[in-house]
Parts: sequence; structure tokens; C-alpha cells
Amino acid sequence: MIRAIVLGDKDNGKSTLIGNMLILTKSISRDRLKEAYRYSSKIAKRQEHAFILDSFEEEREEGFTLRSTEYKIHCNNEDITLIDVPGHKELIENMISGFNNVDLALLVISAESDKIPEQAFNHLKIARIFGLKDIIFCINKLDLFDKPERRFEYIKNLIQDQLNDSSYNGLKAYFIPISALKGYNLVKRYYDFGEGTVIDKIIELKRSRKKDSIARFVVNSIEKNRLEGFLFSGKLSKKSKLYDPYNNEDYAVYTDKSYSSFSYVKLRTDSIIKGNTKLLIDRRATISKKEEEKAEIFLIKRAARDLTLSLYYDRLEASIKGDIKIMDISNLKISKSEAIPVELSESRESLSRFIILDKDNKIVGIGRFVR
Amino acid sequence: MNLNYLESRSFYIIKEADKRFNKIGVLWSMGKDSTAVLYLIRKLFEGEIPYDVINIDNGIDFPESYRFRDLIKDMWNIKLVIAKSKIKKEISGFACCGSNKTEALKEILKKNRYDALIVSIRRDEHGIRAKESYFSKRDASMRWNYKEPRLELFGNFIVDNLKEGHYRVHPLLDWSELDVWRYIKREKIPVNPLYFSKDGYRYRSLGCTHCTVPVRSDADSIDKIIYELKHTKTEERGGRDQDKEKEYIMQRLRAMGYM
Ligand SMILES: Nc1nc2c(ncn2[C@@H]2O[C@H](COP(=O)(O)OP(=O)(O)O)[C@@H](O)[C@H]2O)c(=O)[nH]1
Repeated sequence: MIRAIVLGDKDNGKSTLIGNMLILTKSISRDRLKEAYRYSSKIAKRQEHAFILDSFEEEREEGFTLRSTEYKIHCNNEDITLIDVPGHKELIENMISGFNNVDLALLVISAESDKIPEQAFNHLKIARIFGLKDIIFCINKLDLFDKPERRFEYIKNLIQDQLNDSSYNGLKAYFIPISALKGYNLVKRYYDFGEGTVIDKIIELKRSRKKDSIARFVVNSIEKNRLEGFLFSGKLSKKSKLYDPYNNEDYAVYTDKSYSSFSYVKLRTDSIIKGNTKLLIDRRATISKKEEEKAEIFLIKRAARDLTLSLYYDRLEASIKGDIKIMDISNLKISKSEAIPVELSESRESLSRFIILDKDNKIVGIGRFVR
Repeated sequence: MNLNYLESRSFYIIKEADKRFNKIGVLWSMGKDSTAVLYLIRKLFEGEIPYDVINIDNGIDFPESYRFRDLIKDMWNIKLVIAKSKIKKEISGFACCGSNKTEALKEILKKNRYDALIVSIRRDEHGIRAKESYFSKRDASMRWNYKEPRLELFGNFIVDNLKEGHYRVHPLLDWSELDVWRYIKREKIPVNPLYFSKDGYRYRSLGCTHCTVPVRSDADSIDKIIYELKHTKTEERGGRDQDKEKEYIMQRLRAMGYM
């Protein structure tokens, strides 16, 4: 299973790309397609693939995505989930919420304009916080150009110039020339330049991706030595060793069979858990319990310095120290109100990430702890 | 999709809800999806369903469904709460599901003070359902403010303290129709007999007698249903009046609090 998020500024063709991928891989029913086209002919006066995804009245009337949507396609023996997010700057909270367990990102950029939209780079920075390194740049609307290869190279160079900035260190960019509308290079190859088709690239990246093997078990409930929870990453065999960073204890843990990541697991420990814990983790993970931690955050709006961090496994009251930039990555320090253990890791499987919430429980940004 | 993965996901969502809410009710239509959810809850809690199971009954469901309800109630020892909805006149579709069922649900919510309802919707059922979240807030009049961002990153669901209204919990959101049937087969879950073909017709989706029509099908076993679904091109809910009746009907029904 692969989860790919589709990023990009509004009107660059995200919904069209996903809609057409659904059609080309036959992952959508005829009824749904008919329904979408009926409304698109009425509202947009032509067949818009985007109407397959944009289902709310407002979305269709206004022509933009309001809420993120997930769609599954099945192709070349792989299940691929494509996540459509709103491109509008005003809807960036909704956009961030599309990032649930994402493996890689597609960034759709229309070749029509001579300027790469700023919003595309905001999306890239957010992707970085989420640990996404592989970005597939889909240079779209090439059907509008007589010399698509020249236009593709031109846009590619524009992007590459900007990627030299240190904010994008470690990012791996792949460039694919497409027409989301005509379906060129989505599933089948049409242009002979660039790096193949979107589908092939997604599958290739998924297969070559290495995951860290650290077991991370997020505790849901404890009764004496019986625990239930979710195995976010790594594997558990019938007998494993895990560390409780809250109470600084090691346990042998037993399960009825072996489990791989994303499983709900009931387990037993060799002795009764001392105190409350939210997390059991492989000893090899880098855990920190300092009062102050270094972090990289992306704030989407001004907020007070005292904030709530929602981690995978816990909630934490914290305050932010240092220069805060808005709609950009800030490197700063976060002081914690309680000694909650946090993971410091670059890997995408890690639990180092958090959402930043204000007093009203509204998303004001995201971040991750760093070494 | 991998059934173990989907089952795990659902367990996690149910447990997260269990931790966060005081009084949970499960909506049970006697259809395959909500029956699968009852089964999941029972499996997770080792043979017990610790929540009220709410059936909205308008009195005009199929006799097969009522028999199935009694059977499951006894077999799984369910705390069944029947919310009687009134049939005002000979109305169906939008008006029926919209006004009758929603009113009955509102009443029972108020009476029994549920702060969360487990509802068995799936993303692949409808374009609007695809936009749902695992935990989804409803205001006092059961309206869904879909313009609010979904706050459920990382599986650590963020839940507001509600003074009024409730949360909808959607453990089946990631499943497809085919996944549900494959799971029913694997776990040998009993299903409403109306799903199986009789005289060349079967029900693919169950509403009440007024708004459900059967589809042409010879699938009289789970295996044949699975085969049929792998080759079909039509929508599951196509046999329901509601969906065809009016434009954006689903959106309106949801805004009104319909499942
Ligand atoms: N000519 C052309 N138009 C496109 C292409 N992709 C998208 N469009 C059009 O661009 C507009 C915006 O597309 P949409 O998918 O709604 O963009 P989104 O806001 O990024 O989801 C629509 O009118 C599409 O028909 C393409 O490859 N070629």
C-alpha cells in the first residue's frame, strides 16, 4: 500500500490529475463518473475530471477543493491512495490534515505561468517537516504548448534554481512532464523526455524506500501487565524487548503471534508496568527528556508562545523560544512543561512530529523535534 | 486492501473513541456494514459489545431484517435500543430518511445522552462521504460543519470538549464494499439474507421497504457477491431512491444529520 499526497497551488490541476488517474486505472464506477460529468457540463460547461473529487456544492460552484479527500486506485498490483488537498492559501489547515501517514508527495505545477507559485514552496516546506524526501514534480498542462519539451525544461530549471535554498536540503526531486487533462504520462507514456510516468515513479519510489526497523508501540490502555495499543512501526515477534521512556524501565513483551507495523496489538509484559506510560519503544531509538528541545516548526499563522503540542502518543503544553517566522520553517527551542519523552529522529516512521494547537484546539502549525 | 490492516485500523479508532467518550451508541441498520462493525467491536472487546446498539425503526423494514435483528440480538447478547421513527405520510427518499430517521435519532440522542455515535459509513460510498474524517463533530442540531479542518493527524485524534452536540466515529471509513464482503467471508459474520439473490434479484444496499430497490443479480452466496463486485461498474447505492432524487441530496442529508 502506498499513500501519496497531491500538492500544489490552486488551479494547477491536482483534482484533474487524480480524477483522470481514477478513470485511466478504472478505479471509479460508471455511475460516479456520469454524476460528475453531469454537473460539470452544467456548471463548467465542459467535462471536468475534477468534479469526481470535488463533491460539495460550493466546491463545484467555486471550482476549488474545500476538504481533503482520499481515493484508492489499483494498478500494477499495487494499492495506491491518492490524497487531494485544497491548494488555497486560506485553506492550509485543511491541507495539512491531508498528511496522515503519507509515503511520498506529488507536486503539481502548471507550465502555463513563468513563475512558480509561492504556495508550491510552502507545501514543500510542510512536506519536509513530515519527513517526506521524495517529491515528484508533475509539470502540467504541457498539452497547451507546441514545444512541450522546451517548456518542460524551462519550468524544471526554474524549480531547480529555487530548490538550492537550504530549506530544501535532503530533498530528492523527480520531474515528470504531464497533461492531467489529456492523461499524458499519468499511467501510459506519451512524452519521451522526463522521468517516465507518474504511476511508475510512485511505485518505483515506494519499492526502493527503506524504512527504519524500530518498533514503536503507542499505548492505548494498561491493566497491570496487559497492554493494548497500536504498533506504528517496526515488528513485534512473540517475544521482544521494549523500553518505557516515561518510567525508564525495560520490559520483555509477549504477544500471541508476530505483528508488523500498523497493527492493533494486545501484549503482556514480564512485570507490572510501573506508573503511567504512553509509549513503548525499541532501545535503539533516540529519546530525549530534556526540559528544552530543539525543533523545526512551520507556523501558518501568528499565535501565542504558549501552545499545545499534539504528538502521536501524547499531548504536551509547551512554550516557544526564538524567532518565529510565519509561513516558513523556523528553527527554535521548545520548553516543555512536563518531562514527556520525545523522539529525535529524521526518519519518516519516527514519532518526532507534532501538530501545534492554540487554546481553542485549532491547528496553528506543525513541527518536529530535531537533534 | 489488506484485511488485517483494515481491522487494526478499525480497532484503533474504536479504542480511541472508547478512551475519549463517556457514552457511546452504535447505529445498527441491520445491513452488512453496521453488522460488520458490531462484529469488530465484539472481537475487540473479547465477546462483549459494551455499548448501546441503536436501531432506528420506522416499522416498514423488511420482515427478513426484523428476523435478522432478533437473531443477532440474542446471539451476540446486544443491548438493543430501538428508536421508533414515525411515518407521517406516504413519503420516501429524501423526506423519509431526512425527516423521519433523523428526528428519531435526535430524540434518542437527547434522551440517552450519547456523546458519540459509531456509524458505519465508508469513503467509497459517495463523493461526500469520501471527505469525512474518523472522528467528526456534529452540533446540537446534528449539523456537520464540513468547512472545519479535520483534526486527526497521526491517529492521535483531537477532540473538543463539547457542551452540546456529539461526535460521529467512523471505524469503517477506509474500507471498500469489497473489503467488507471479504471480511464477512473470512470471519464468517452472519448477514441479512436480503443481500443474496432470490428469483434473479438481490439487495446491494439496504434502506427500508419504501426506498430500496433490488438489483439484477444471481449472486446467492458470499463468493458470488465478491465475484460480482470485482466486475461491476455501478454504484452500490444506485438501488436507493434517495440518491437519484435530488441534486446534492447527500450533502443536505448529511448537513441535517443523516448518517
Ligand atoms: N489544458 C489543460 N488544462 C488543465 C490540465 N489540468 C488541469 N487543467 C484545467 O485547469 C483547471 C484547474 O484544474 P483543477 O484540477 O481543478 O485544479 P486544482 O485546483 O489544482 O485541483 C481546470 O479548468 C482544468 O480543466 C491540463 O493538463 N491541460
